[in-house]
Amino acid sequence: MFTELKKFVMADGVSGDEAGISAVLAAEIAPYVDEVKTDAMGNLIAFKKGTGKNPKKVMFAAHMDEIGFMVTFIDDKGFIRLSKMGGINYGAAAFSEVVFKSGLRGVIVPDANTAPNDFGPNKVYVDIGARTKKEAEKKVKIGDTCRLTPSLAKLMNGRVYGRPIDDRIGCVMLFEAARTAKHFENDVYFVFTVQEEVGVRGAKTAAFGIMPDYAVAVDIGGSGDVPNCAPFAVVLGNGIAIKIKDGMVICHKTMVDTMKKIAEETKTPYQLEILERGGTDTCMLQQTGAGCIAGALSVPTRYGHSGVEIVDMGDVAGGVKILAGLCEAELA
Amino acid sequence: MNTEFLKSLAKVCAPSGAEKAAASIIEKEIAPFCDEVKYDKIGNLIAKISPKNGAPEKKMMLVSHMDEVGFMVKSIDNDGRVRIALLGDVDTRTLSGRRVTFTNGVCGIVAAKPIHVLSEGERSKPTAVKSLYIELGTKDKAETEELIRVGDYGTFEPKFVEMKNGHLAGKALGGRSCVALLCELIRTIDKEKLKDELYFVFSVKREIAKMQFGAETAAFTLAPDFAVILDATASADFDGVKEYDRGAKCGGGVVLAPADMKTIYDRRAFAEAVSFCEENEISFQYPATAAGAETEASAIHKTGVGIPSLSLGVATRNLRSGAEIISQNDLDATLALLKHLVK
Ligand SMILES: [Zn+2]
Repeated sequence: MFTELKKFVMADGVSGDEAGISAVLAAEIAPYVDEVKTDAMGNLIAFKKGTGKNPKKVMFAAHMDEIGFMVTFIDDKGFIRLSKMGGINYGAAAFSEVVFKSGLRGVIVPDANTAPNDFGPNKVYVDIGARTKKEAEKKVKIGDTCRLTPSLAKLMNGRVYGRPIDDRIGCVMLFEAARTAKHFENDVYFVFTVQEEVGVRGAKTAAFGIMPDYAVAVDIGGSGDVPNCAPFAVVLGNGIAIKIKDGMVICHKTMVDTMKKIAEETKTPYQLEILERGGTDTCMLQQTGAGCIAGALSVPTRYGHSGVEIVDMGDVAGGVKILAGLCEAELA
Repeated sequence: MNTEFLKSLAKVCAPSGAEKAAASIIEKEIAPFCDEVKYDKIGNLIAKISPKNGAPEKKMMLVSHMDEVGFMVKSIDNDGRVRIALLGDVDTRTLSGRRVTFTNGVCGIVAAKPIHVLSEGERSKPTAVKSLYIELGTKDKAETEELIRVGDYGTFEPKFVEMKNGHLAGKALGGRSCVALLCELIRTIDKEKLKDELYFVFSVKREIAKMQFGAETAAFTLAPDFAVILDATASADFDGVKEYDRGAKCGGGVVLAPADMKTIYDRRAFAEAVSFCEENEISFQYPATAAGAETEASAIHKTGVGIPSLSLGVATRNLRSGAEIISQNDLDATLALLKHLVK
């Protein structure tokens, strides 16, 4: 899975500009499904027809977009101002390298004399080494996106770090489930959604188009085992987390119970996630159109939305087993 | 662009939730040129124009809201003064001393505690809406109630002013100029050459964006392949505002935004609009910042299976005040781009 994750991490896909990662995912998953298409919003939908007697429509959603920046202004000296796409941690982003889709590199830095606590959207700019506005405009257009330079490396104990693991790790899980499911009892839609980081926008239209019976969002979560963190039961390495609730959704009990049952039958360790704030595509899956039985898997993650997100590949493997189990299961 | 119709639009009192006055004059203006004109359940005015030759290739929706910020009568004091609740994000700094009009034509003046009795702290801040009232000159509650009732709607007094260099001023002028642009487009469309089916949506309840967008239901019903949203964009080209925080510049051309706070516009349509303007020397500008801005696209683009959207903005100074200022140069540029987008 590390190889796939690396491939997905390296592909670009800032929110609203996901064509790069979408092309990579489409090519990777195509051999394992019947049909791959893109909807009006840009969501990538890979469909595998089920062979069961009473197949249900099952939708898995992992967002393929990543947090990043959009160019909004270029000043006379060629310095570039940005709008944030998603929840940027400016403390973590400042003084880092950014890369544009063209491969152009720059560095993101705060205005001189800005206190670290004040780093924010109007206080940072990108320096690409240009001498004038004209020079910068030859390389960069208003509306272009850029991101912190992607990276991925192994740590001890099967753990990896880099960015954007949010949510390329979820994309890996969907891909692995498509690849490893023993058979497809259900009609399964593997959906790689767009614009999650800017407000769960893509999942809404994807769910409306599919109208699933069951849906599972797969995204990163948190980890309650780092110094000075708030109390949180989910920790890195103790298994994939089955979401009970977050700030935007209470998961359907049927979905929670079904995933727990599959985990127990396959001897997959799991944890239960209860978040008071934040949310993922799950809320949209549950409410769109006529609604559906929705739940979520969260990969325990340290330092989300930084350049050094850490996950444990053991947790990830467990999540894949649950997703594959849902492809294979007879659902009521 | 001919501003005659804009003049009559500018005089109309149509706050969010009470758009009828605007709707009727728009309907009258466009009906002769449309194949169908109707209202949906929540009051959006929807006009259809089909190609003369052959089946339509695509379905395109063009949206401009007809409502404006305003207020509603919340209660009437025993001494006859009128207390109000605001509709939309009114620039409250500009309220005190303003002339206002109710939808039934009754006029009043916004009044507040006299400035010479204010404390230093009170003087430095705009008066809170709860401390404002509208004076009708009446002697008591009963007399006020002969003129207006709780639940009645009102707006800033309409006044259309032509200024130097093609600048126009008046309340709600940013939004109303977008309506006028769509009407001008409707009047001048060449149906013989038209390939797409066009739906013009004059929407309700845009200004109460925190609650809902009227245009969302129209988008759901029509389910178009593409949407163009016209709206006023804040102009903040003043000293003291950093260049990259200025939003748009009144007179700087049609505003093309790649994204705002709530929407990422269709990347291809945005790039095509930019190159069309560049190639044809149509003055256009980017809003320097996305901060704070949103349009009806925020609801529209996520409707149904998704509707790729593009936003065209008319740069507006003093947005949501009693006297918005726009530039005819920007209207001409916007119209030129609109005509290109409609195929
Ligand atoms: Zn995520």
